[in-house]
Amino acid sequence: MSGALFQWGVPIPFAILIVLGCVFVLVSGWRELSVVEPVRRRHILRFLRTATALIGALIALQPSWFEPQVSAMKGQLAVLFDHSRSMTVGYRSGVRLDAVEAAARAMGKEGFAAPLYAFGDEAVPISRAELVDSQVNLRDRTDLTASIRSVLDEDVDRSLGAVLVVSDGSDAAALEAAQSLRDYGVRIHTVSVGGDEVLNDDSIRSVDADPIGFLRQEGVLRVTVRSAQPSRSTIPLTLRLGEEVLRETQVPLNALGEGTVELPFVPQTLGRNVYRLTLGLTPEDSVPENNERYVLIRVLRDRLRVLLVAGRPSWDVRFLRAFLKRDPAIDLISFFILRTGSDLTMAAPEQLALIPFPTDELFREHLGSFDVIVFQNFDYGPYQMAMYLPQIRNYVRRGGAFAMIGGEQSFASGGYGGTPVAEILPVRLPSSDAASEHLLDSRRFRPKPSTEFAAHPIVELQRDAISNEALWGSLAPAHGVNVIAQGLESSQALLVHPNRNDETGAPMPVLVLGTYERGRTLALAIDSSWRWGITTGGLLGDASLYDRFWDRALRWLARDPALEPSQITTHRERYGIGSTVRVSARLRDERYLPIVSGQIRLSVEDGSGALQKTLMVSSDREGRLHAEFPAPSEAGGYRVIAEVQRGRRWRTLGEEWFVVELGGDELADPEARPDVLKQLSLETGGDFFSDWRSVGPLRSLNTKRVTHVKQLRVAPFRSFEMLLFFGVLLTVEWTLRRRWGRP
Amino acid sequence: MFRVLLTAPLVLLGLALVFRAGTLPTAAAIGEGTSVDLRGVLLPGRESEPRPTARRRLAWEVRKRTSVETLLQPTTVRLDDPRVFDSPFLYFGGDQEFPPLAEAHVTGLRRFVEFGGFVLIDDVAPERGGFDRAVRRLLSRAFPDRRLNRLSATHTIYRSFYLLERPLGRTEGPDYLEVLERSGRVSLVYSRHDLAGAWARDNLGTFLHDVRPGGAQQREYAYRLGVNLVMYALCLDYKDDQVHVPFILRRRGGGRGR
Repeated sequence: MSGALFQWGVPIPFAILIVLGCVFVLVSGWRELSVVEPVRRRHILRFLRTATALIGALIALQPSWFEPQVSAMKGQLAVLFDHSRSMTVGYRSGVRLDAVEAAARAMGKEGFAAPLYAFGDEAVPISRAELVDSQVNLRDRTDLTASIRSVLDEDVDRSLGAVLVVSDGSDAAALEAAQSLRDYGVRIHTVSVGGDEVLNDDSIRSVDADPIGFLRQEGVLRVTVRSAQPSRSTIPLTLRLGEEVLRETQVPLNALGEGTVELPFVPQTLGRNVYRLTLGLTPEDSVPENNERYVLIRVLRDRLRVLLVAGRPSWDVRFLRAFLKRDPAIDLISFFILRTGSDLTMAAPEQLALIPFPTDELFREHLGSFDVIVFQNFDYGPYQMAMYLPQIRNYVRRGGAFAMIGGEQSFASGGYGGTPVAEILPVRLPSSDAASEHLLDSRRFRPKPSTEFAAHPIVELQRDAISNEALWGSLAPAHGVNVIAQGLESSQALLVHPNRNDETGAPMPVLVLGTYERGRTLALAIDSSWRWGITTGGLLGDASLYDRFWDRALRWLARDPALEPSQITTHRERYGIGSTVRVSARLRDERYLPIVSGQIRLSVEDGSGALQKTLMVSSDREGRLHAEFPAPSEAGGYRVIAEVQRGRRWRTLGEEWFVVELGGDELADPEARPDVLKQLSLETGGDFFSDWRSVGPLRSLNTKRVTHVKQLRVAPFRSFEMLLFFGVLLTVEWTLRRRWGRP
Repeated sequence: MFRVLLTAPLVLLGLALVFRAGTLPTAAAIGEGTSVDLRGVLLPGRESEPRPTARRRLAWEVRKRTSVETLLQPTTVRLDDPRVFDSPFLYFGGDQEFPPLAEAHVTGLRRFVEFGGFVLIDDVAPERGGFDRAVRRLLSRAFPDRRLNRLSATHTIYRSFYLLERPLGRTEGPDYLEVLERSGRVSLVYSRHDLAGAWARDNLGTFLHDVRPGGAQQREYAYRLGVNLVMYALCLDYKDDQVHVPFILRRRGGGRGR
């Protein structure tokens, strides 16, 4: 009946009336017959009255249901052998995997030919020789139902009648999913491995952590542990970052030997941090591999801290401040010079809302806390800031980001020539002693994307290069420019002047990006980028170009990974030893152009930077790359680095981290689960065997595949026979009642 | 009614400025477009403003008192002119009722504000009421989903450069300004104090209108409000940044300005 669709032959209101009528007949009949003597006759008449009423009601109600009609046909047998990492757990005198090899040998002796598969999270065909010689890579995860389903889905001609699964059943999720395999009609016979042994195992069962952490903000690792030793009330747990011990704690255990603890940690460095958890190890521990776990946390800044220093209020300052304040992810500290020494405020100091420029506080005490520093038309001279300029250079040298925006107080006309700030700028400045017309050009112009870097995301406002250049040509013109002697050789001139050349004869750079040791710098030699907002909005109806430009510029300065030219990823974050690491990459050069058909060196380094392996691979015509290699043989954090050769040097394109674990999730709970295998067999009509020896000859296994042919409607009360039966009952009841003196 | 705050040192400073006025530097920005143009709005059919020298005078005062580089000869523009977007500041003064503007003018005003512009509307004849009626009619057409609100006395506009307590112009007027806000910033300020009347001077430096009832002090506060409005248009809520709060609170508790 399961799965059958039940229905009544009459509408529900009629059905209710029929049932009520039936009840009335029964109640009145029982009362009417209560005077019949002797008691035996009363019982007979009551029985007949009840049976007649019920049969009559059922004939009137006409209940029916659909039942699947099935056929069973003998099919082929496929055998699936578990090759997940849990099969390396000790069993009897060896490991669980030994039972698989023994089974393979036994099949060989029997001479039974069947398709063979090894499985973990999916099933792959395998030969008997490979099974016997253990030449199969172990899988990091068991997914019984997915593996079985992958075999059944491949069986397009429906030749399989049954599968035989040899496994430890270490996949609790399969208990819930077992029912979903019933619809295939294929019987699943199961053979348990390791189910007859209890492990003496202390383990880290699970580690929950947000994969994203924030710099200098507390995060929490929630760790659940379990001990198999009933006498234990606590178990020691240690958290490390590299070799440094961050925290040691005793985890209290409950009566079941389980305990959960929350370990706070405070990331101190940006990027990928690899944390290591270790559980105190006892010599008798059956599975020492699961006493250690690694956790990979990507550490970001929660908010981008930007310092904006402006030499005077202007529209350029106003629109940049408005943009920075609008973004909730930016923590803006701004300082504007509202009054200079030569301004006459016409008011006593207490009538002014002016505060002193906190140079020492900003540039000595808090400089390192900023992600990006922006000097916007700011002349350092009047504020005794020369002593702080080396601090700014050192800040960039250590990895900070610095931007200088144009104006008559910027670049050479701001007196920066020959200063430590000039050292970090990506441009060479003309001599500050030159006449002002050689430092500033007040003519209007429309900057255009340079040919070389037109694909850079900061200036690529439209994907198509021609449309992009046309869009830049339609923006409101800039009003004047700071004269740049030339861009540095290592810099990237993204925007150039359309009709003014630098000292080398090349188009004069207007927007230039550069790097200085570990830091990044940006030079924008105009003070009218605000005109790409409101003024361009008036011209084109779209004022968002300004925001898009500055959003990307800020993100580039802050090293937003999404804005890096090359992206490299591994298909998982965690691997078991010897499992396959798959790497994918989209590789672009510094001009954001695909590295087409290039020879790429992939290097794998451990956490200390020691080289583990290198391999050479080629990118395709779109700069994409795919590679595979076996995971390193020691647990720990690793990074894979993609490099391309430039002359004699190798230039890094990108990198990604992954961790290798001895146990991982697969061994977190390594107990064999024969109950899971039993449930699979039960749901699909297969047989469960507690070990291989009890299987017997494979030919004797039931391999009849159950096939649903059609749905059959069953309506037992909709027949002439049932009507005749009702008539007979009615006649007998009436006849006896009359004979025994009742009307 | 008003306390005498122009003390002797300030008078001396004023004298010093007489000498400095002739030597004010010309715009030092890279191009003329980067200096702050206190642009005036010309209505259709009108070739001049009711206080034609006022903006020039304010521009001069802003440049003299602050680090802001202003255009000393501010320009004018019509609301339906595409060049209205060339400068994000508009001053719109009037002394009489004007007929409903054509849709192109209304749209120009709306787009100007939506793209980030700042508008200062100044009723220079508040006692007549005609300009007020026309302005409210115009604003209800340009911004049907928003209405003028009274500006809180604690708003940044009153401390963007000078510490002020209320608006004052040629007339004392109401003790509040009215504003339209957009995305958390004031994008339009409406004053009914004849600010331009207090600012206006002729070429010889003679003030063109009496300021009542406060005289010279009131005129100074009108200038200060003008400076604060320009400073707010350029710096927005900069003075709300945490770094400024303790200083301003200390000064608010001590010497008070208008």
